[in-house]
Amino acid sequence: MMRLALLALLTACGGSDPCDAITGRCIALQVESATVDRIDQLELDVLYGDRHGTATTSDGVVELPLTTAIEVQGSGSLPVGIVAAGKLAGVVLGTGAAQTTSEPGARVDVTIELAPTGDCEAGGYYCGGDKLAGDADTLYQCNGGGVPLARGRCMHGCTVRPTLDDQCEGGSAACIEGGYYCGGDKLAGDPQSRYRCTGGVGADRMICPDGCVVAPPGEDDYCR
Amino acid sequence: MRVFVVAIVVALQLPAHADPAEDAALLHLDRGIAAFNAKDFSTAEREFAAAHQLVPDKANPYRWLALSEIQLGNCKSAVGHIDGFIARVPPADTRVAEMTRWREFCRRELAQPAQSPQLTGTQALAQPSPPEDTQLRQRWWFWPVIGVAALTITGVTVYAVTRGDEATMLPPIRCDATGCR
Repeated sequence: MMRLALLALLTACGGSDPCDAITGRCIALQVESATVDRIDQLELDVLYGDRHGTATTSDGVVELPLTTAIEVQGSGSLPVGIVAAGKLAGVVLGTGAAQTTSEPGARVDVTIELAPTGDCEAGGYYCGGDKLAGDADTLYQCNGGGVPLARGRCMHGCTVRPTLDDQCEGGSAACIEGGYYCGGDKLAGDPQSRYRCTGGVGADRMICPDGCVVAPPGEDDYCR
Repeated sequence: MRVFVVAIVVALQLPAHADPAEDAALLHLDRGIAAFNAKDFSTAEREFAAAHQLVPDKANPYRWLALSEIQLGNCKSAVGHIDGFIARVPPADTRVAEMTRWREFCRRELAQPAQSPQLTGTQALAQPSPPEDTQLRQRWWFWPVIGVAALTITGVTVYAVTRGDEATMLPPIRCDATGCR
C-alpha cells in the first residue's frame, strides 16, 4: 500500500517531455539564467528556414529554469534560430539565443541562457551579439521592450557598423545592374527587404512584410 | 509522551494534595515508571516500594509493584500486591481484569517447581502486557495517524527533491507557414 502510494506520488511529481504532445518535428527548449529568477512571459523569435515568427508563451509567474516546445513545420532539414526574451511585468529581464537544425519528425534539445539585455537602439538593425542577443550571422531588429526580431540569416556573414545599421554582406558575386535582390544576396542589406542593384549596391529599398525570397539565378528576387 | 500520559493517569489516581508524603510518593512513582519503561525492573521495584511506604493506602503503587515483581520473577510477592490492589479499587476498574490475569499466571508459576531463581514471567509465558496507560499503539487511531504522517513526510520529501531538478513547463509554440503562435 505504501509502495503504491509512493509510486503514485513519484509519477505525479515526475517531469515529462515538453515534446510529448507534438507528433512532428519538435524543439525542446530549456531556458535558464544565472541572473533572472522568475518571469511571467517568455517571448520567442523563431527563424526557421526562410520564415520568421514571434510568439509569447506564459503560465503566470514561473521560476527558471523552464521548458517549452516549439513545433516547426517545413520540409527537409531546417536551420532554426531562436531568440528568447524573459519578461516580468512587461520588462525584459534577459535575452538569449540559440541555433539548431531541425530534421523531419525528429526532436532536438536546445538550451538558452538568459543574460541581461544589451543596449541596442529600438528599431535599429544589429548582428547577433552586437548590443543584443543572437546569432552572429543573423541580422536582428532591436525591439524596445521585447525580444529582438530576426530579419534573416546572412548567407555571407553579418557586418557590424558602429555608426550605421548592421547589415548582411552580399558576398563576392556582384549584382546585375537593374536587377532586384534581397539584402544579403549579391548586395548588402536587410534580408527582409528587396533592393534594386544600382552601381553594385542596393537602392530603392522595399521592405517585405512577409519576407524576401531569393530566386534562382537569372530571376529577380521578390517579396513573399 | 508516554511519560506524560502516565503522569496524568497517576495524577488522577493520586489526587493532588499539599501532603508532602503524597508529593514524594508521586515522585517515586514517576521514577519507577520511567525505570519500568526502560526495563530497569530492579530500580522500578525500589521506587514503587518507596512510594508504597509513603502512601500505603493508595492502590496504584500496589499495581506497579506487582508488575515489577512479575518481571523480576517474584510472583509470590506479586500475588500479595495484586490482591492489595484489587482490594483498593472498585470491581469495575479496567485494571482489575489485567491484574486478575497476572494473578492467575503467578499462581500457575507458583504451582510449578522452581526452575530458576530469576525465571521471569515474560520469559516463561509471553511478553507482559505493558501498563495499559502506556499502550498508545493499541489505540485505534495510532496506526492511521502514523500512516498519514509517513505519507505526508514522504510526499514533502519527494516534492522537495524533485522540485529542485524539474523545470516548469510552459505551453508549446507552433510555427508554420503563417508564423508562430
